[in-house]
Amino acid sequence: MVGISENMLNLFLFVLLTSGLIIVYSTRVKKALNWWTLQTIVVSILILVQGVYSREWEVLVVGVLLLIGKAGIIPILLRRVLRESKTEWVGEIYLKRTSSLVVAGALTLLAYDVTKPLVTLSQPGFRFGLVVGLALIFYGLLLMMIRKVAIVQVLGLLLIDNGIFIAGFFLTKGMPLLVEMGSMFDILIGIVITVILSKQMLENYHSLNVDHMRSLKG
Amino acid sequence: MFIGVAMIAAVGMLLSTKYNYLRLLNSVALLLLTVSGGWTIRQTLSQGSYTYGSGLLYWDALSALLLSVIIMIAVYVILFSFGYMEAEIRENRFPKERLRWYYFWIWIFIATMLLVVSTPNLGIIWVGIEGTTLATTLLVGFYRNKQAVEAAWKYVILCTVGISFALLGTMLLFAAASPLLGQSLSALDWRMLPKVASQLDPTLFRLGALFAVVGYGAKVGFAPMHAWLPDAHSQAPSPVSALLSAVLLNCALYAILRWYSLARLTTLGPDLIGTILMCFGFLSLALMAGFILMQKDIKRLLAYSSVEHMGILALGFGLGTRETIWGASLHLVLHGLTKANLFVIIGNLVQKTGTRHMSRIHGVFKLWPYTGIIMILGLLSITGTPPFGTFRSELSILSGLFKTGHPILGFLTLLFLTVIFAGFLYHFLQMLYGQPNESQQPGEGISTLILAIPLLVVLFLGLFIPQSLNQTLNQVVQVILGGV
Repeated sequence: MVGISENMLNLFLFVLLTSGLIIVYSTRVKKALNWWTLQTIVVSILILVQGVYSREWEVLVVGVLLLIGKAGIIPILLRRVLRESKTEWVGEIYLKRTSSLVVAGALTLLAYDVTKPLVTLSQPGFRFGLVVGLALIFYGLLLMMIRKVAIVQVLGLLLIDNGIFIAGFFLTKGMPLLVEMGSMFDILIGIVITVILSKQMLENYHSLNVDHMRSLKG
Repeated sequence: MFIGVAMIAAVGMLLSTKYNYLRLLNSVALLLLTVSGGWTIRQTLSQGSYTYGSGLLYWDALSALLLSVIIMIAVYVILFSFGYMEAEIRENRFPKERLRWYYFWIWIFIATMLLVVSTPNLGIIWVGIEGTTLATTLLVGFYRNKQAVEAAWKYVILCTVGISFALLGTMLLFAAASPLLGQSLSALDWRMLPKVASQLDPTLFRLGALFAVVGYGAKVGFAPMHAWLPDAHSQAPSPVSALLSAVLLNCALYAILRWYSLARLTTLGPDLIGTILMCFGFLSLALMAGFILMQKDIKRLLAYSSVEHMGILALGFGLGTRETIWGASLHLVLHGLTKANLFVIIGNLVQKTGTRHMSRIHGVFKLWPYTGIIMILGLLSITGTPPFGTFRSELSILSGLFKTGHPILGFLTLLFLTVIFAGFLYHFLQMLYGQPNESQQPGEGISTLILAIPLLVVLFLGLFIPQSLNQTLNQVVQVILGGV
């Protein structure tokens, strides 16, 4: 990575990992959403800084799109659904907040271990980026399993998406612009569609609790 | 170009809710789609491959095969939609106002599938496959009742998570290929990748291929990742179920095949991915045999049968001999035609009887003899009974299993196919015969028989395979075995 100093990079990675942990630890949906927004803003700053240093306009375009599309539009949409449904709590099932933090810690170690064979491939600074990316993917999966409010599951999905994005950024400095734009567009449309679906869920069930949806079996 | 046709058609659908307007616009769009698609397929097959728009769009025999399946079934299903969806409105299943949104999403759905089979780029394929998920989510939840919303939610969440893994896999491939091909689209282009395949970093590629196969596998609905499939396919309006089962699953499988044929050329070789595909295939067959036997809901029955047939395809492609790949490619087309026809005719039946419970449907032959005839044809075709084409394709996969030294696997596959045949026979005979419910309106026009066209094609292909089709299938085998 040209330009960004080792210290700065570590600071970025620290913020990314911590915000991931706080999302898992949160019991209020709104708080988790705010932390996710902060995380996405940090990711886009990281990319913009990299773009400025390396003078690649493609990287800058991706950074700006990320800032407007993901950090800007998605939280607004999700916040509106939260307000309409009067959802406040994340709906803990299987794991309470403390034990979920312990599991998340264990998953971080797992992410560290899994990326070991790849360590020879990338520069040492990148290694941690990859670990953080993978850890966030694991957090996202965890969140989807241990929370029952629909919007928190979407947050899990968004966390996975951030993780993949970070992992990709440190592995390859990002994919070709066309693919990046396509995947970002998909995510944005995906959120719009889940928002529409959660409204229909509200009409049918009067809550966003996915536990109610158990009629389809066999 | 036909992607453009589909997109413009989609937007055009939103302009009016008049039945005649929608029928006319759909017919024009289908005509344009058939002409431009047919022309592309012709060019591709006569030259071996066809490039359009400075290399952004590219077709070879495999993409042409998928393209022809998409077009055939899109035409059939949309023409059927006219009468079917208008009848649904008359029965107050949804407000008339919403019909244009139905056609809008259907055409977006078709456009995304066309994109998947028209790009030579593994990154764009990912964008397209995720696009199909999004385009179909609201179609699955179209009736907006409790079950439909539940099915749509499961579908979008599970498939998006699965597909995310495929994105991670694509990134790992990009990381392996970009030092060799540069930081551009060409590093994900399967026309360029075979040239550097042997130099790709083995660790990165193996990890990437695993993520991609498992991720797209969730979208194909391989067991044990099939949980969303029967819900989504049974809750969607029947024409949409037909498209989902008959075409979309094939499109996701197509993405896996691209990875598979690339993996064959790398140091990884065909074994790892092939074995994974065979495991998925066998597991799908084994589990679905049980589900099909125990099923009560007729649309779920058909959905489980789709998982089973994807399993058969995975066995054929995973085994990787000339014969089995030939058989699997043929089976892909035949299963598509059969399943589309079955969903359409069963959709009609469910509309007439007002129930999906097979135990409440009796005496179809007495009430609607033509529907009964088509159901018998469908039953024979979906279970791979001679003289239908599905028998021929399943036979070549089975004989491949025995020839390559997998006698136990071959025997078990045969056993499961027999169980599935018994299950289908039991369920269908129960519906076809017996004393009909007195509240049912008997009688139907002979024009119902028009709906049987796809099944008649499958029957014809069982008796006789034209030279041109055989040649195409051989080209497809060549594409999968040897990269470009």
